[in-house]
Formats: sequence, structure tokens, C-alpha cells
Amino acid sequence: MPTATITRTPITETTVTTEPGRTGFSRRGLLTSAAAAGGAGLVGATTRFALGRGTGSQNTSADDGGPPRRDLDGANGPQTEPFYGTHQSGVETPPQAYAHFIAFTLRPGIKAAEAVRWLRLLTADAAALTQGRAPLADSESELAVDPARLTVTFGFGAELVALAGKKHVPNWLQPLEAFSIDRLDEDRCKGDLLLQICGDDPLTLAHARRMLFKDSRSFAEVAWQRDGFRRAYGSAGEGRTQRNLFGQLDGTANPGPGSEDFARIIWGQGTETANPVFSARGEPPADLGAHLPVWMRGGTTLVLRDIAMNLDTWDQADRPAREFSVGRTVDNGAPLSGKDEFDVPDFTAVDERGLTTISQAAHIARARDGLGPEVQIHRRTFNYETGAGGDSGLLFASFQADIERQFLPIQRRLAEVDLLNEWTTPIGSTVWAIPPGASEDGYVGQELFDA
Amino acid sequence: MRKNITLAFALPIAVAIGLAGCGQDDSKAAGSTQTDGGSSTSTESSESAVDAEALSFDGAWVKAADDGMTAVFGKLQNNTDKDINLVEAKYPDSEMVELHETESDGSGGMKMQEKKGGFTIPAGESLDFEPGGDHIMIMGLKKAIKPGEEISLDLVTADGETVGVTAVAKEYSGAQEEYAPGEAEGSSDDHSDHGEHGDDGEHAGADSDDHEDPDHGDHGDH
Repeated sequence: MPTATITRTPITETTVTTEPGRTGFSRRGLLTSAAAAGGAGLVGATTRFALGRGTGSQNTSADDGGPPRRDLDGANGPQTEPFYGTHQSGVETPPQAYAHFIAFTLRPGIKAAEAVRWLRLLTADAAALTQGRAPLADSESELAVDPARLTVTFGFGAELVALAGKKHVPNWLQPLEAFSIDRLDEDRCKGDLLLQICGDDPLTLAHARRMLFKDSRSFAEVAWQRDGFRRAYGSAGEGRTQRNLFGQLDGTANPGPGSEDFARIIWGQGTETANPVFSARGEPPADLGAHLPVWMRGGTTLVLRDIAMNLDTWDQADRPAREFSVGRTVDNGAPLSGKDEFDVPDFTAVDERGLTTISQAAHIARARDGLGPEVQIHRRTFNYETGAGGDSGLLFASFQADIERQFLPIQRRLAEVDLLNEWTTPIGSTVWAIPPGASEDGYVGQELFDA
Repeated sequence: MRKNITLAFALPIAVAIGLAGCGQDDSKAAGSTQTDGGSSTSTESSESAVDAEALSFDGAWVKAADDGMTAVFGKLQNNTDKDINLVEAKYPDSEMVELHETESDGSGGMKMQEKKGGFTIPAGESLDFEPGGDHIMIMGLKKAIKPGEEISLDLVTADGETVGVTAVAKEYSGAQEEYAPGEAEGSSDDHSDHGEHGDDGEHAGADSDDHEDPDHGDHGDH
């Protein structure tokens, strides 16, 4: 999938902080203070916007500005993201280098009591693993150290929610409507519980997945699982927009973590901050999450699309064609009407021939032009490939408070016309309810099963 | 006193873990003289609960099991300035509970056996119960312990004091404790029914059926 659909809010450009190497404040310290200040929603608010277009180097460099040095201290291993809190981590959390998505299907005969036992086990496992502690009965406890920003995010499917009572199942918690561009493999379109396991260390991730799997076997079978990756930790300054396997910047338009836009667009509720700043898209409604059932307050929705990307036919497209199809340059992701990645696209700009600089069929025009400020999403994407000549694509995780008002208007337009469709094909699609974060002594989904 | 009972009737059980070479000192396990079924019936009806802070059981978990036997693990912490002697654990939905220690058999295997006199946790220190090490052994489950379930046990000190603890059940493939270590070495004897140990009449009967040498009990094939 291509680059951005929206322009980043200006505030993100004024809150640049450099990632400290071996000097200065520690990221853990920031996280701790942010958590103390009021919850996961704040985490990252100060740390990582706009690092990518910041002035200084994000490299660990000598004081004299000499060449970059490697981090030989394992500085990222002990880094943690919070587990307990108002929101689950792994949504607003700046994306880690790796992701495992694993979906489970309930075994026959599983009822609410069993589901609660399962969720308690998984919650306890995740709470320990994300903080670098071995969960109970971890037979490889040494692999639990160095969490490297491990997060485990739970998503509920309709069957799981229905165990608490059918009346709790929201009407949007079902497969998306069919799109003409879809070539869905039904085996990638099912599941009753999703675990999105993200982190910067693949060994830590493998262990976490194994632990969570072992504590799931009694209750569910694996429906499908997919692995994705982005840049490794340390390769590029955090906050930089990632590139997908087409070489495109992917996610330019995302609302920044900690922003008012993020609170409204993803968590569906404004923060009532005094002087909110919004992106050029305008002010999103402060109540996009009002439709969510009570048990989901503090949660959000996830549409996970498995999008195959045809690198072979993409090779046949030269750079001008690639940029024309997206409406952005490949090198810095600037809209073809502008110069910098975060410039607001001008869909009325014309070239010397009188043609719009950005084609009306280009991806960013289709995804954005003419849509209201509520039609925004947070894409948290991970690349995948199965080897040279194999399958490649993007695990397109789209978080938004309201699928009908935010995701579908974009998806419908892209399915109708989008030059990028030439090279991309949706092959998997699932919809998940993301419950709020667990409270200590509680478990993820408790609001549902206590309801 | 429960402690004395335990000492007087050294249990006829040597529990092996994994591929344990199983007990060589069979004399310890010999003789099915156990008659009180592990005494899940308490004689101390007036036990006073110890201060909840005095003895804590952190990270407690139990291996999920449908029947037979299982084990409880965790860190037992003595928060007082006096030694605490743990002499017994009780779990109502079983026929017998024992405190087990592990010893190397000298050939790479580990041997489980009842800890005579129980465990002493020195003042301010802790004792780890873990797979392959010391643990609380539950035998003759009367009902399944399902993954994710929380069970309650009572820990009893030499002073006759009781502290209630809980442990969460985890699916776990290790801690394969079997009553019949001979099976691990391909013994043709079927000791599976010993997993339901606690009915001593049945136990004794099985022994007499299966073994010519009563002195060696379960280990007669060695």
C-alpha cells in the first residue's frame, strides 16, 4: 500500500526531541513519567514526532559530530512499553520493528467461563512479558528478559464477544462488505481472538508468541498467523515514516501519538484539552467513539487487511509512473504539489499543461480529496515477504474509532478507483474489537464479561 | 501432630521426573505402611491463621491436570524474623498432598521423594518450588484442574498454623511426575493406577499383584 492520505498535524513539527544515544534522558524515564502523568495515551507525546524530518542526526554520534557509532550497550533491550492502562499498548505505540499477528478460533464447547480463564492467562502472560519478566510456568524464562518494547494487543472477534452475550456484539464486528478489488483467501479472514505481538527483538517476540500460544492451546486453535517487519531498531530515527516494499513512504498522514487528532480519530473521544491543534484535514468530531458499546470505552476498532504487493509488475513501472500513481514522490514522499513529505497536498494545483499536478485517480487523491476531517485512520503497517520470488505485501493494520464513518469511506473510494490497485491485491481481511487496556488485577476484556 | 505422623509413615513413594533413573534407595520407598491416606483429614481443628504477611507464596502456579497427580510451584517467602517449618499442604479436591524434594540420582536423573520433616524456610528467606526441584505434590485428584483455574491450598506450619494460598493452573508439559518410574525405562509393569494414589488398599493390592518382592514396592523391577 502506498503512502499517506492526510497531512500530519503541525504540532508534531514543533515537538522534536532527539533520541538520546548514550547520553541525555532515557526513553524509559520518559515512559515512566508519561505513564505517571496519566496513562498510556500520553506515552510518546513528547518523544517521537517528526524525528524523521528533524534537524539533528538520530545516530549515536561522538560529541564532535564525528561518524555514527554503534550501540554496543544493548540500550534497547530493557526498553518497555506499558501494559496496564486506559488503552492497550500497540495502537498508539510507535511501531516496533517486528510484528506477529496470530488469530485463534475457539474450540467447540468453550463458554464464557473458559474464555475468562483464557483471557486471564493471556493477560498475565502479556503483563509479565512486556515488562521483561517471565510469566508463570515459563520454561525458557531467560528469553523473557530484554523486552525491547514488546507489546501484546488483544482483538476480539464476534464469536468471542458473543460468549458474553449476543447483545454485546456490535453490528460492525463482522467481515467488511465485499470490494471489487478483493481476492480474499477465506483462511485469512477468520478468527475469534487476535493477538498483535510487536517488538524490536525477534527472539523476544518468538518467545512471547510461544508462551501465549501454549496458554491458548486448551481453548483455541490457531486460525492463521502472519509476520511483518519494518526497519530494525536503530536503523533510522524513530518517528520516521516507514517504507513499504514498493519503496514508498507509508504512513505519512498518520495522526501523531499523543495528539488530539489521535485521541479523537482512534480512541474516539476528545481530551478536552484547552487549545487543541489539528492537522490540515480540519477538526475531527470529538465523539467518534460514542457508538462503541460501553465495554469498549477506551478501546477502538481494527481492520486488518493482508495486501499482496506484486513486486514483479511494480518493477515494470518507472519512477514517474510510480509517483503518478500515488501522487507523491518516492524519495521524500512529498505530494507532487509540494516539496516536503508533510506538505499539504494541493489537489487543485495544475502544471503548465493545465492538468492537475496530482491525478484525480492517484492514491492520495482518492483516499483524501473531498473527504471530511472525520475520515481519517491510523495505519500501523508491517511489511512481509516470504523470500526472493515469493509472496510480498503489507499487513495493513488500520485503527479507527468508527469503521463505518472512517475506514469504509476511504476503502470504498480506493476500491472504485486507485491507480495503485494495479499492483496491490487484498487477500485477507479481518475486523476486530480492540477492548480497553486492563487494569491491574484485571484482565483484557473484563468490562465485557462483567457486563 | 501432623509432623510426627508424616515422619512415622515415610511414604512408599519415590517420584521420578522425566526420564529419571528412579530411586536406587528403594528402602526409603519400600513398604506400603501408609495407612492414613496422606491425612487430608486434619486433626488440628483449632488452627489459627498466621499473619498473612508472615508467609507468602508468590508466583504460585499448579500444573493443570484432568486427574491423577500434579504439582504446585512458586516462591515461598518467610517474612518473619523466625524460621518457619512448613510441614504440610492441604488441597481438599485430592486424596493426598505431600511436600517433595528432589535429589540427583547420580546418573543425570532426578528423584522425587517426600521431604521428611517438611521444609524449613529460614527467617527472612524464601524457598523456590519449581519443576525439577522442590514442590508440593498433589495426588489423587478428585476433579480436574483446568488451565486458568485458580485453586486454593492450605499450608500448615509445624506450629499447627495454617495459611491459605492460591495458585493459578497452567498447561505445562514438564514436571512429568510419575508414580511408576519404572515405566520410563520400559518396564512392562503397569503402574498407571498408582496415579490415583491415596486409596491405600488399592495401592497395596496393586503392589502385591505386580511385584514379587514386596520390600521393593514400585521399584521391584530394578
